[in-house]
Amino acid sequence: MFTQRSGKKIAALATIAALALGAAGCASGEPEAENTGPVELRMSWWGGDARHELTNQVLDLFEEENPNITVVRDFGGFDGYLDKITTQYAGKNSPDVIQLYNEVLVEFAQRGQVYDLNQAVEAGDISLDGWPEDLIETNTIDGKLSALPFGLSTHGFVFDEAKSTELGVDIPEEGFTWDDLAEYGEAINEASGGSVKGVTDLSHSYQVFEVWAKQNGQEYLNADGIGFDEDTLVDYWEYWADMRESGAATAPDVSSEYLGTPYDAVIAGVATSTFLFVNQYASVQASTPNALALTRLPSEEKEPGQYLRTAMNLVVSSQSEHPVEAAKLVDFLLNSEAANEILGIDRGVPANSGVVEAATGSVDEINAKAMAVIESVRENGSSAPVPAPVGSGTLNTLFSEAAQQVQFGRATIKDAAAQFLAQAASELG
Amino acid sequence: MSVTQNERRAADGTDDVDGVAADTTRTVRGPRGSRTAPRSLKSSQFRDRIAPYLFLAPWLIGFLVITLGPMLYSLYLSFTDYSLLSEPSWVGLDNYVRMFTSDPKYLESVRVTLVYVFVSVPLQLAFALLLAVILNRGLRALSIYRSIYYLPSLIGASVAIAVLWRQMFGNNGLINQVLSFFGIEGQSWIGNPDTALGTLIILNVWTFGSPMVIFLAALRQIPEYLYEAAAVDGISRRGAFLHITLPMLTPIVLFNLILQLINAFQAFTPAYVISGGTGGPVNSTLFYTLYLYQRGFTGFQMGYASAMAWVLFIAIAAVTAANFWFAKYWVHYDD
Amino acid sequence: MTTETVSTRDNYASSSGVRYGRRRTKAGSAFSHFLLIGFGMLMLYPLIWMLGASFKDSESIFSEISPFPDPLILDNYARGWEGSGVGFGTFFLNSTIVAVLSVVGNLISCSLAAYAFARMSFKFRTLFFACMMATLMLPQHVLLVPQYILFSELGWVNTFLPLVTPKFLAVDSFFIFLMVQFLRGLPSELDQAAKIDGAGPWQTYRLVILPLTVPALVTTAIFTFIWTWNDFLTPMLYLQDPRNYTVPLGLNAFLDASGESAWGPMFAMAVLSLGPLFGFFLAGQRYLTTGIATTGLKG
Repeated sequence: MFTQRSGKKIAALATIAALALGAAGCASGEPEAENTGPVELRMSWWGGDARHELTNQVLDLFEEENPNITVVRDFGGFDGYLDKITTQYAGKNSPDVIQLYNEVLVEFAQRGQVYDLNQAVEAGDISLDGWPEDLIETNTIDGKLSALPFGLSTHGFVFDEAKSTELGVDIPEEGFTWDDLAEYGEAINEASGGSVKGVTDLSHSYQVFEVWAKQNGQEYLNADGIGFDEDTLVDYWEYWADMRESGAATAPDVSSEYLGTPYDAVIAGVATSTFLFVNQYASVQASTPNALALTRLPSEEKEPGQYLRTAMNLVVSSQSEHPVEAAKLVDFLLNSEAANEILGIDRGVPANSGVVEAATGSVDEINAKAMAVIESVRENGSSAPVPAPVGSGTLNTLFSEAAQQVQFGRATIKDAAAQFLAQAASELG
Repeated sequence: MSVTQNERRAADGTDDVDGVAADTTRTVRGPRGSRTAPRSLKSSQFRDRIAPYLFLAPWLIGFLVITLGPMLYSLYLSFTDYSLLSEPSWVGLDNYVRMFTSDPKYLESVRVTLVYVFVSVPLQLAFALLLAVILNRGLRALSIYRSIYYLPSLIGASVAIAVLWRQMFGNNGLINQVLSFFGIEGQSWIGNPDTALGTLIILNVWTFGSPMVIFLAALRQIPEYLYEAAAVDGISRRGAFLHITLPMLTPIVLFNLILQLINAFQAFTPAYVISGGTGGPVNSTLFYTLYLYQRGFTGFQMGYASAMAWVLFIAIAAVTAANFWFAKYWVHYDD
Repeated sequence: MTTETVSTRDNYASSSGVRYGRRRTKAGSAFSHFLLIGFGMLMLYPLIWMLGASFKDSESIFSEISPFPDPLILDNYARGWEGSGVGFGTFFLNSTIVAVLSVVGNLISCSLAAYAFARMSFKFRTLFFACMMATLMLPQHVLLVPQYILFSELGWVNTFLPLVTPKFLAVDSFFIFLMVQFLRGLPSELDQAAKIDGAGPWQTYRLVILPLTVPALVTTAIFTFIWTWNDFLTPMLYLQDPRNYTVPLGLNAFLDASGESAWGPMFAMAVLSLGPLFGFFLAGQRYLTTGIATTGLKG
């Protein structure tokens, strides 16, 4: 069995030896007491087996270029990932480099559990050349750079081209509006005699609502809490209520079945369009023989609404015993061309525009479509929101529940919206 | 070698010496521990006194070190606000008060769990007992059937179950296909809040293989001579079942009842994987421990979750104690 | 008289499992077979679907409703076996080690404890029994963190020790209670007979009681093996290096709801994983049919 403990002991002994030698051999000491002995880092990530393979390759490359550093890899599926990391933190045993996501980043950052990467930037261990300002802002919490994006993605809509053609309905064109979507949905419903719906009901999705709010000049959440008016939410839910009624959107029980993964409804042929993040496009397309078209979210002639979104972040744990080396690893993963050539766009497009070319060099036709949407949003998109406040996880669940209450007719839209806002205030307050 | 009456008393602590007195050879009679007692009496007394603790030693160590400590720590946590990422901070009874007064979701989870427990457990046990009795009749290909019925319990609680259950009860699932064969239009059974819990109850019943195997083992252990004696007395098959099989089974029925109840109260994984961790739709599958998990891990409120756990503990302890107490009316032990 | 006795005996549940078919009509037994098989198929449908899915390519798993693969491909098994670079061979080996050790641990420690609770009396028996039952009643999730801290202090993280050592310390009260109930079904005359013969508690336990509780022991072994094999939460917390992963962790590593999930390979490996479980169950089943012949006792 491979234990961390023996590794740590060896590292400790070697460090002492190295320092002793260094002290004996050097006339003037270096200002930084840098570890020249072997260092063992642990990196943790989630993903599918494709991602595991790529990441392992990159880490092997890193170890080659840094012979004194070994990286213990801790990877697995998404299920239970957060539990594992949090428990490890509680046991003072967290990994050095951790892949995390937006919704929980603030929980870790505000409790001082992540290392301030600004220190590494100042020391020159991490370079921020080619990084968009607003992404750095989004990840700066309480003045500390808590994380760096490990891949960018954005919101998208998929349309089942094959099925739409079969039913004789045209897919909306680029720049389509919410009304266009409603028309499309109704047409599909009619053409199929009610057996296939045009779009899955998205009233429970706080992620789509976030874009809707931005399109109306508001925010879903800001640093203080709720960033939108009750009316905006009411409008949103009324839109979807109309969609359900006209048959354009899926019935509530069907929507519930596919709640977490609405694209499965398209794969199963229950609906012909839905929302997803563009970095999911390739795997969704691979799960069905029907050709799927990828577009941006519906928008109005106002704010674009959608933005370049951090798909996932990299953080360095504040419990790490080797933050300098950990920062080096982070820098390698995010800024090295060689690394990004291997990683490709498995996690999304690199944030560092300097390495985008390396990562997207060998992109296939399907992924090229995802890239196109991302580039379009990079040019014409809204700015990323500020980090979600502590307690927002519960909030997102409450949003989904309130929407379902409306879907199943257990509450009126106005009541549900008012109740949601009241609950949000108490959760965040 | 023979054993004195005094030794026997020391061994089981009772004065019961029925049935075998005739074989006893008495070597020494006298008060326990008197100086006329032979050395073998003293050492075997000591051995018999200390033997239980030796047998229990592994359990004692395990209990004290691995279980009791963490249990007490979690009790302490229930009076704190603990996010797992920072130190616990004392809040007294706040968590407990909040649960019952300002958390409607909590009460909902209690309701869902109670329905689940009191519907699925009797159903599951009934199936298990029924199948065990049928299969025990000496049917040919018994082992094949036993394996078929146990197979679902092998798959364990994994994400695969969620997919499989959707393939059964989903909008496009098998049940709906069968129904449409008869011209009945189905709905998404797992997507509808009125029926979602039902699919989880069915899932629990689907895995009746485990209590069934236990019942089968118990049926096998009923001594043959009882049936032989009944045959000699001319008792009918039905009578034998009612007067021999059932009574002899009661200790195991109690076991399965208690354990399946405890299990059902703490059910987590089925709801977690099938609802995707949400307890939906609309909290209709929000099991108690699922909500506990949501609060503790996803919500970073481990103190509150610990309080929930201890409330559940008390509830389960009460139900179990009640079961043990009522057992004296219907469970038959032979010792 | 004799014939009557014989024929009524035919109809009792027999612990030797021999089929007494004399009184059943052929149609009657065919009907019950039909029912049992029909019900069985219904029980098995989800698993049949999973088997079919393991032979489907990614395009058809969720888009085609029928459980029959078309086209039938073997790629999932090959790709699944690679297991994210570590290999399912390793995962199977790890799972086997943990499961077998757990079975041994439970068999020893739980039967010892059960014997003490069921057949011996001592001062704290009721208290200890209540404590033993109490450990079943607290949801596992709240013990996760304190136990993790404990094992972390001991330096046992990333080894099999936190998974296996508790089994040797009778932590699974389920099996203690199971065996207690089985033991209480055995007549106490057995113990007394042994004592008359001069056996001490250890000998009584080993030579008299243990052989008679084979069904309970086999049940314990089977369930321990299967539950340990399928356990996800504890291995996920304690095993950090993927080379130590058990099968459920390996299966989970295929699935990423936020990105690309490899369902085909996952189902393939899940099907394979049922192999050892089913095999263990079949092997143990034979011992479940052993009844006890205590006809000698009444003499």
